[in-house]
Amino acid sequence: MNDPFGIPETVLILGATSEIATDMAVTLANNGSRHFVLAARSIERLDDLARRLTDAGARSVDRVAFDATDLDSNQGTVRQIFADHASIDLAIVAFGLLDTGVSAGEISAVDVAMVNYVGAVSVMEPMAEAMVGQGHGVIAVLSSVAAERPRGSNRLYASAKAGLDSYSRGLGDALADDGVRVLVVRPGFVHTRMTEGLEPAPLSVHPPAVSDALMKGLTGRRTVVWAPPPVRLLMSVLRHLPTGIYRRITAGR
Amino acid sequence: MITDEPRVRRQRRSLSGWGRTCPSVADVVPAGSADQTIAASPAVIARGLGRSYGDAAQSAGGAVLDATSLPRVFELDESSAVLRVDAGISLEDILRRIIPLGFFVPVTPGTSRVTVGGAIASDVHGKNHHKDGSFANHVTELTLLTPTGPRRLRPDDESAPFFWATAGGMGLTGFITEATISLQRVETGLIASDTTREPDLDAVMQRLVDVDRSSGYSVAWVDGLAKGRSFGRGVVNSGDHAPLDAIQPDQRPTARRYDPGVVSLPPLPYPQPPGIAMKAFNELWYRASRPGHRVESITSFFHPLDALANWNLVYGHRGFLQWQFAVPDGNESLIAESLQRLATTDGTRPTLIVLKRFGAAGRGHLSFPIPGWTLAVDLPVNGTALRATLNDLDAKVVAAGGRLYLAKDSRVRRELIPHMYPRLDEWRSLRNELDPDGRFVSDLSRRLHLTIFDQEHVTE
Ligand SMILES: Cc1cc2nc3c(=O)[nH]c(=O)nc-3n(C[C@H](O)[C@H](O)[C@H](O)COP(=O)(O)OP(=O)(O)OC[C@H]3O[C@@H](n4cnc5c(N)ncnc54)[C@H](O)[C@@H]3O)c2cc1C
Ligand SMILES: NC(=O)c1ccc[n+]([C@@H]2O[C@H](COP(=O)([O-])OP(=O)(O)OC[C@H]3O[C@@H](n4cnc5c(N)ncnc54)[C@H](OP(=O)(O)O)[C@@H]3O)[C@@H](O)[C@H]2O)c1
Repeated sequence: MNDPFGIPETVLILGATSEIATDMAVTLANNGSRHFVLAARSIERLDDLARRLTDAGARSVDRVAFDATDLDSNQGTVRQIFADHASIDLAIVAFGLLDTGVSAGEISAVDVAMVNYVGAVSVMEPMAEAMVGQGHGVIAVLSSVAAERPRGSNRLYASAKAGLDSYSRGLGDALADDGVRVLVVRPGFVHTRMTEGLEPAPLSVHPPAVSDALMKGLTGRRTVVWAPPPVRLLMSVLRHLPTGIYRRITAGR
Repeated sequence: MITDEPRVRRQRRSLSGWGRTCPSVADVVPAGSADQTIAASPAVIARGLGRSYGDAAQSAGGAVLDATSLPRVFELDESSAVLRVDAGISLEDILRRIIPLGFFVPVTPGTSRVTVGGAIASDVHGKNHHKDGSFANHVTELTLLTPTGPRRLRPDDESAPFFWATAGGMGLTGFITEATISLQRVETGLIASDTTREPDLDAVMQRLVDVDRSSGYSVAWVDGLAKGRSFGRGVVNSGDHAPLDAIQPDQRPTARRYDPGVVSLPPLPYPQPPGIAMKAFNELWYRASRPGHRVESITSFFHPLDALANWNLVYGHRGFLQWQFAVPDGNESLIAESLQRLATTDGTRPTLIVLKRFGAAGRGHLSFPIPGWTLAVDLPVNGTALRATLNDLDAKVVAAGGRLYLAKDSRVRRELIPHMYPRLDEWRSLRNELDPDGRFVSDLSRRLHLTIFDQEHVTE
C-alpha cells in the first residue's frame, strides 16, 4: 500500500536502466520505499542502482530480464512478478525509445512504435488486471510533452507517446472504481542518454525534476503531472499555434 | 456442478478509515454469509462503522465482513445489569435504549458511532480509563467465528487466552458476532461536569492528575497552535454521572432522555482548510469552553464531535491521520517535545489534541492502554515533512517504553511494533491456533506484518 503521504512500499520499474527511472528509484528509496523489482533488457547493468537503493534503505531489490518488444512473453513476465510479490504498490513504465539523437540510425520506424506504444500496452494490460485483483495500486507512465503535438522530426516517437498517453488516461478512467490509479508523467526535455547530442529545448531539466513531478503526483489525486510544471503552459501555447507558425518555429529541431 | 447454496451477495467497494488516507477496494459481504466467506476467502476482515482512523477495517482485494448487518440481538437483564448484543450494534443505539432504563455503557470512546465488535477489537478506552480500564474489562463473554469453527470465549475460563487475544486483536483472530457486557447503573442521562482553562501544558497535566483522584471521567484538550507562554494551554473537563437529586426538580422527568441530534455535510470535494482556519478553530474552542460547573448531556460531554456526522470530510481529499501514543509516567517532557516538534514541522498543523491519563493496563496482548499518559493529535496530511517528524517521535515513544494505538495508525514503521507490543509473538501463536492458514488479514496487518512471525526486524 501507499502510506498516507503517497509513498509506496513495493515498486516495480520496467526499463530500470533508464536515467530518469534510476533517479526516481533512488528518490523513492530515500523517502521510505522498501522493496524494488527492477526489470530491464540487461540486468547486469543494474548492479550500481541496486547498491544505491540498498544504501538508501531498501530491504530487497529483485531483478527481472525484460524486453518490451518480446510481446509473447510480456504478459507472463508481468504476471510472474505480481505472483512473486505480496503486492506491487507502484509500477513505473519507464522504457522508451527515441529515434533522434546519437543512436538514431540504428532504430527502425517500427521499433519506435513497438517499444513506446505496443510494448507499453502489452505490459500495462496484465499490470492493470493484477492491480485490480490487489484492490489498490498506482501505475506511473512516462509519456512526454511530445504526445501533445508532433514535429516533423519526432513524428514516430511523438505519435507513439500520444498513443501511450491516450491509452493510459483511458485506462485510468476504466480503473477509477477499482482502487487503481494511472498517473501520466509528461516530461519536457530531460538531459539523459536519450537526448545526448540534441540541442536542449526551452525549459530543459535534469532527471530529479521528473522525480519531483512523480512524488507530487503520488500524494495528490492528479492524473497528469508535468516536469517541469511550466512546460504545461508552453505546450498549451504550442498546441494551439497555427500550422504555418508552428512549422517555422520547430523547423530544424 | 450444481449447488443450491445461496449465492453470497458481495459488493466491490473502496474502503478507507476515518482519516480517508489509504483507500483500497474489497468485496463487502453481509454478515449472514460470514461462514461461507471465511471458508472461501484467502483474505477476510471484519468492519464495523469504520471509525478506526487508518487501515484496520479494510483488506485490499479480499473480503470485508460488514458487521453492521448482523441480525440484531438485544437482551438486557435489568436485575444483573448485563446486556447481550450482536457485535454490529453501535454504542449510540445501545445508549438510546438503555439510558431511559437507567443504564450506561461501561466505557465509551470519543464517538458513540462505533460498534461493539469494533470496541472489543480495539479494546477502546474512554474518559474513565483511569478508574475503569478499557472496554474488554467489562465484556463477560463473546462469540467468535474463526476458520477453525465458532468459539465462545470468556475472560477467566480455559478460553481466556483467546478472549484476550481477541480484545485489542484488531479483528485478526476472527469475526465477533455477539458479546455480553456489564453495564453501569445511572440515575440520569446527564453528566455533572467541571471545566477549567489552564494557561500552559504543565498546568493542564497537573489538573488532570488532580481531578483523576475524585472524578470518574476526565480529559484535556490542548491548543497546539498557541505560541510562546501560552504553548500547551488547554481546557480540562472532568465529571461524573449526575445523580437525580443534582437535577432541578422541573427537569427530572426528562433527565433520562438521550437524543444526539446530528447534521451531515454534503459529500463535496472540500479543499483543505487553511492554517488560519485551524488556528481560529483552536482559539474558538479555548474561548468557548466556559469554565465552571454544569450539568450537561451525554453527547456534549462524551461525544461533542458526533453532532456533525461526517466531520472527517473537512480535511480535504488528502485526508488526515491521528497520531496517538501512550507512555509511562515520567515522560511528561516527551508530550511537550512532541507538541513542539509537530507545531514546527513544515506544512503541519496539529488540529485536535487530546491528553488523558491511563490507569492500569488491560489483559489483552495487543491492548493499547498502559498506565501513564496518552496524547492524541489530529494531523491533516500536507507534504512529507510530517512523515520524518513522526518517525523520529515514534522512536522516542519506544525509547520511553510507550506505544502507538493501532486503531489510529496508518504509517508507523513496522520494526517498532514488537518493541511497542512485547507480547506480539505470544499473540501470534494464539492467533495461529484459531486461524492456521492466516485467512484473517487486513491492510493494517499486511503493512505491519502483525500476523506473521517476522524476519524483518532491525535494531533501532
Ligand atoms: C471521533 C473519534 C473519536 C474516537 N475516540 C476514541 C477514544 O476516545 N478511545 C478509543 O479507544 N478509540 C477512539 N476512537 C477510535 C474508535 O473507537 C475505534 O477505532 C473503534 O474500533 C471503532 O469501531 P468501529 O465499529 O468503527 O470499527 P472499525 O473501524 O470498523 O474497525 C476497527 C477494528 O475492529 C475490527 N472489528 C470491527 N468489528 C468487528 C467484529 N464484529 N469482529 C471482529 N473484529 C471487528 C476491525 O477488523 C478493525 O480491526 C475514536 C474514533 C473517532 C472517529
Ligand atoms: N529524456 C527526455 O528528454 C525525455 C522526455 C520525455 C519523456 N522521456 C521518457 O522517459 C523515459 C525514460 O527515458 P530516459 O530519458 O531516462 O532515457 P534512457 O536512459 O535512454 O532510458 C530509456 C530506457 O528504455 C529502455 N528500453 C529501450 N528499449 C527497450 C526495450 N525494447 N525493452 C526494454 N527496455 C527498453 C532502455 O533500456 P536499455 O538501457 O537496455 O537501452 C532504457 O532503460 C522514456 O520512456 C522516455 O521516452 C524522456
